[in-house]
Amino acid sequence: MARWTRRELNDGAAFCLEIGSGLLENGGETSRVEETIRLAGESMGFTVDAMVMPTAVMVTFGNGEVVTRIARIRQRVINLDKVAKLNSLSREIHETSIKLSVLRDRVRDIRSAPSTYTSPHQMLATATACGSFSVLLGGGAPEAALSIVAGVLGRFFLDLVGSEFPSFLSLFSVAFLSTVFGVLGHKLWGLGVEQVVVGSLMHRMPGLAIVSAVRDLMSGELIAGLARAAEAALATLGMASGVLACLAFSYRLGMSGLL
Amino acid sequence: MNVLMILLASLSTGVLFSLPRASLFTASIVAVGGYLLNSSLLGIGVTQQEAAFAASFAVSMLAELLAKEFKVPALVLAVPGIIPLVPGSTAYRATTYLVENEQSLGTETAMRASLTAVGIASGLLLASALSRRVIKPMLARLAQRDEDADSPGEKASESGESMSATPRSAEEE
Repeated sequence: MARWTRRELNDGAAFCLEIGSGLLENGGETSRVEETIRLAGESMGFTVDAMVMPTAVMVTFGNGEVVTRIARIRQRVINLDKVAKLNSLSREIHETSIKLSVLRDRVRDIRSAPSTYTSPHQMLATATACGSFSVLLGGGAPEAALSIVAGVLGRFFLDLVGSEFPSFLSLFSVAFLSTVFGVLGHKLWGLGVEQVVVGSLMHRMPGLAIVSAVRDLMSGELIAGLARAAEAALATLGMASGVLACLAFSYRLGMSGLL
Repeated sequence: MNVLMILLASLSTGVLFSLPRASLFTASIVAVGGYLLNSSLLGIGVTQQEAAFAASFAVSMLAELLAKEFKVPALVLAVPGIIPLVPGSTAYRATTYLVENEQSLGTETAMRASLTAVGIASGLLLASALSRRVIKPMLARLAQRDEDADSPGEKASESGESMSATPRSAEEE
């Protein structure tokens, strides 16, 4: 087996780390990240081992002369478009041989590219999601409209606080806000509370965390699977307690028949 | 009306999760299928948790099968389909009962919500385990057989070469 220079090992490890953390940052599954790193390293001709957790990537390159590097993932967003792009890039490495420097540039391009959907798109999507979920739950036009207002305001709030709040707190506040709208709508116009509250919160359900938790567990990534499950549980708990807090408060103020 | 609404809802959750544009519509169709299965099962009197199990199994299986076709991770196609199945309104009702001191109704409803969540998770579990260990190897074998069936025919025309193709296929069976 060929011997590698320290420089080659370093470059390879840096590349694998970059593609791995790119996948992880945007919401890729842990097992898939590990596999991608392994395949990328092997197709470049290195001996590779990787250990990936939802919050960190570790890769070891070479045998004998070894390079190990760690990248910590601090901030995570959900951008499945980038996950799919990085994924097909890694498939390309496996099938064809492209120069490492070119690949690194392409990974950087994908990582730093702006999201496919601009902020107005996202806002519009929030509005339609809230409205249509509200109708699906049996609401009429007024409920749908109020739930759109609540959802869009919630989104503004989230954009405002950004990542300063931990996710539990921000979901708690958003759920509290939605429930305030629901209760007010009931008090003022006699609207259904459930359709407004649940309709405006439904799109915040941690669908990605649930799916990737299950898929990670099934592929034997026990730590990552449990971590993702905890993430989903925490998000759900945050929303539930926000709703509960507001409902309990309005119940104490003498509101009843909130169903 | 409901079909239109669920389509709209899953398209917009797709945008919120930044799905690749090319698979946005496919993922929404998967989601519509899952939702329709769920609501028709509920309509014929199946319990909520069983319906959720069946629907999440269907969504996840479809996603796994289509993922290969569209060359995207299965995760991308499954996520918008799972969200409408989440028992949001059951959980909300449980919360209201608990607030209004209806302990027994509240616990019953909360139990139903969590069982539904368990149903979703186990549908996903079953589908991803099956596809990883059973369906995908089976498909790979089928594809292999097709290739083998094609290649000797092609090579038979260039006489003599067919010898090299046939033992390989026998070996791989």
